[in-house]
Amino acid sequence: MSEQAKRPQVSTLAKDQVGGLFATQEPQWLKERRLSAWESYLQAPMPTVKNEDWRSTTVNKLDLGKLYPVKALTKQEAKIQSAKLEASLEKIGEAAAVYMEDYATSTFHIAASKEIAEKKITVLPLAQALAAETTAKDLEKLAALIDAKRGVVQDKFTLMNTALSASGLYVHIPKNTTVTAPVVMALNLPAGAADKAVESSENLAVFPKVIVHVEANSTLKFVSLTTASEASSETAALVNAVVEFHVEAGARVEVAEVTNLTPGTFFVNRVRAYLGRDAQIDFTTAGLGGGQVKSDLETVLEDRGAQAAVKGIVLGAGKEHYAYNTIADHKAPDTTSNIVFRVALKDSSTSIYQGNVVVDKVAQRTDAYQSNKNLLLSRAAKADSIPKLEILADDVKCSHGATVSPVDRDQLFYLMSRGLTRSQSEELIVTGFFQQVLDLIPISGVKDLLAELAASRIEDKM
Amino acid sequence: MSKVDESTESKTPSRDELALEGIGTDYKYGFRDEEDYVFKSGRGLTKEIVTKISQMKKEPQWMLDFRLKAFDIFMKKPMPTWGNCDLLNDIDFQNIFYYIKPSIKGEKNWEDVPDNIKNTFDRLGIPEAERKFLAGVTAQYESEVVYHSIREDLEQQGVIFLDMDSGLREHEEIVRKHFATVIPAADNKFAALNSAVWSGGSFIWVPEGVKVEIPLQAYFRINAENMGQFERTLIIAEPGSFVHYIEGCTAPVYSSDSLHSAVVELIAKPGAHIRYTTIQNWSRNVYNLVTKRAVAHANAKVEWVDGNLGSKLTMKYPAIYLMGEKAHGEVLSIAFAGEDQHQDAGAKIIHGAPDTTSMIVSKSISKNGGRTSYRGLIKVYPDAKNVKSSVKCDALLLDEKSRSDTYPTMEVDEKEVSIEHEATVSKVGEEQLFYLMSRGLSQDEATAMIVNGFFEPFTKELPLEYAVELNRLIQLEMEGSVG
Repeated sequence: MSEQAKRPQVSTLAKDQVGGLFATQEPQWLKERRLSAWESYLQAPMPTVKNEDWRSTTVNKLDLGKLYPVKALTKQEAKIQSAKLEASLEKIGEAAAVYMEDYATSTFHIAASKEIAEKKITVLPLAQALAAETTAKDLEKLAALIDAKRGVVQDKFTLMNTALSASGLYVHIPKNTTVTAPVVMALNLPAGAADKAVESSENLAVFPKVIVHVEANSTLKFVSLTTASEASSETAALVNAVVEFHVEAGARVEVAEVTNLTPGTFFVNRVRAYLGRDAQIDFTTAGLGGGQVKSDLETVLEDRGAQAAVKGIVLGAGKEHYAYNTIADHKAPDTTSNIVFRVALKDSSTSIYQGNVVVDKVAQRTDAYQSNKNLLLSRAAKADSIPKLEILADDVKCSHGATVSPVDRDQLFYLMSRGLTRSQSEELIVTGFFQQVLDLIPISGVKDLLAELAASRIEDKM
Repeated sequence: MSKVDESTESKTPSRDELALEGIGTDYKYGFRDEEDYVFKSGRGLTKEIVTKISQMKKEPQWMLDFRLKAFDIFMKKPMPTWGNCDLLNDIDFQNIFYYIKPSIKGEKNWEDVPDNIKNTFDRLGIPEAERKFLAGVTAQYESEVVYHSIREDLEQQGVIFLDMDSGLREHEEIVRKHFATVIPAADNKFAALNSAVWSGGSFIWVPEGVKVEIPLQAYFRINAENMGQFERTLIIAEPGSFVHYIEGCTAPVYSSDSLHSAVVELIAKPGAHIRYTTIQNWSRNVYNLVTKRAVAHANAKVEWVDGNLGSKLTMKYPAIYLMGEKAHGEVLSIAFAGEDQHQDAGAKIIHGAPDTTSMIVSKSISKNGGRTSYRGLIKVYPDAKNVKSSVKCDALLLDEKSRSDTYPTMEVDEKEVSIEHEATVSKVGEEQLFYLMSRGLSQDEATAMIVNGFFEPFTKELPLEYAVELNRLIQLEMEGSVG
């Protein structure tokens, strides 16, 4: 029996829902990419649990036939409407630029400080960047670069994004430029069926594409928030993002992405950072809410001296499922990667962490470390850990460690003997568990924001 | 091997370079015998061959039914889509001889074994080893066991140590009760293949409370080209008993491939202790695709001590199902991959009961373009409280052509557990080398010493004679191998 016949029938996005997207004012090369991606998307099989990458993420609950891909937002709003986001932004502090797509009000918001214009930095909604000649050229060049790189996964979800993306941001930093305050991007999903003003808001599919291009010897701080309006019901929504960082020689990028979605949301996130000679990325990801979060974080160390630090904290609650996959791809000598991933699980939440360190034949003197610690806070919680190493060079230092355990009894005993209740003690221990990662985050505002978000989740009926 | 010795005598300096060549060139078991068989099946696998094997062995109907069902499963199951698929898909199942019967019957007396086969095992040092320290020996040549012996005192204590075919004939009830209960035919494609065409292997039954202090041994030899060897081993340790079983494997060097696909089932009843040691040293034209699994009941202990030096592709993940409280499982393995070798080995521990503990230590070395992969699983089922498990994998890479992978999986469904995994991949430490060389050792002596130290946790678990032999093998492989 062929594989084809055995595969369960899956629904697909209807072309008539998406037809309008192909007719937008876009350069010809992008239209062609979209159309060819659409054809491949229709052919591509839906990932199943038999795919190693998807081994514990149940995709079959996702009914693509019921989803409505969003069109590009055209209405601009001068102020941020969501109080929750407003508060988050306040925590982060001063920003060089803020871009927000709010699907609760179907508006977008963009604001930039003087610094942006003075330093000839570009922060534009992707649709606008594609409409302008110079930025469109850079985007075309970057797209061609990626096409030329073999090994980029083109599965159903990336193809879907390529074909249908009508959301996203383009950031470009010219050579030798330092931006001190972070550039913030926020995506806000609606609270649910309550908002009748928005066409079919209960079953949104958003396909953000974020392209960040940092030229040689520049630095950038970038914060990405993906949230849903509070008190959201279990609405079905899909956020399927593709994020690219092109970090050229000697440049440094500090990134923090925060996922704070509702139980009805299926979040597929593909992040890839390409690092040039001596380029650095310091990447933090936080999984703090979402029905199913499937996130691939790949750092490609393309040239000598590149360094990648990837940190993650995940705090699962309810029936949430997190599948984080970090890939450190060492393609050049003298490259360094350091991955620290901490997961704490409450209720019946589940997590599967997969990590892969790949060291090419030429990547001598690679130094790679990968650590994954899992804290189980409830009997029904479940943690899987698959830290992998694939080493083809010999002069390397690669190691990894992984643990799964409940809250340490000695620590608990100590705190309780000091008069704290059991739950207070547990909260303190979990806070400490994350603090070790939070302490490493270079963007101070994000550190505070994450500490607060984590604390509210820890306290929440623990 | 002789090559190295000669060069040592003639001109000492070049010895280093020669030894660099690795195991393949020094493979001292690579000789072959003239083929003179009582029966040799045609190439390829058919229902008729399966039936014929069963008939020649005069098996009961249930075993024939089992074989035929397994044959159907084998034909239906797809090839694995993971691991080294390129090599796996190169296997030509229709080019393999599935059953070769070398002589009329298994002998109890060494003198009665046909001369050519006896010479082979003499050259491999089997009778010598037996005289020295073994409690019992089985020697399998192609599909059948040709020699078999067990010490009288053990026989008197009721220990059964037979080849699997005799086991089935003489103790059908015990076999029927346990056979394929640990590894069903449908477990995987190669287990299905083995279930359909199995021949030979060991059957061991240790009565309650009996401790077999000295090891039982089996020796497996493939001689014919494109041979498929499918031995089937079943070890049952009744409550409170102990047995240590050692197996060794070699084959001649041919230009085309042979297939070794064994199924090994261990059952450790409450409080029993089984230790199973393998020194796999097939020649580099052998596919070694083996399913090994143990069940450990309450308070039982199972240890796999697994050394993989030979073969073209090994895929072997000894498993332990800890099904009773306080059961303990250990897997201690080393892998050495030289040119054109892929050692895809590992371990699986399933914690299915509370207070069970396990430990995996895996050491691997890749050189000369070889590839080692550790592939493992630790699974903890709900309610298996107070499970403790620790996994440690270390890999050494000796040159830039070689490759090492680590694919561990941890699946934890219970909160009250402590699971640890650690792995490192590196080359021989420069500080260590420098230290030893500053004490007057040459670079390769120093490297060999470091590698011996690296494997030490494994070698110290072997009976002395084996440890000495293994150390010598490693030394041969290591000398002059500074990459």
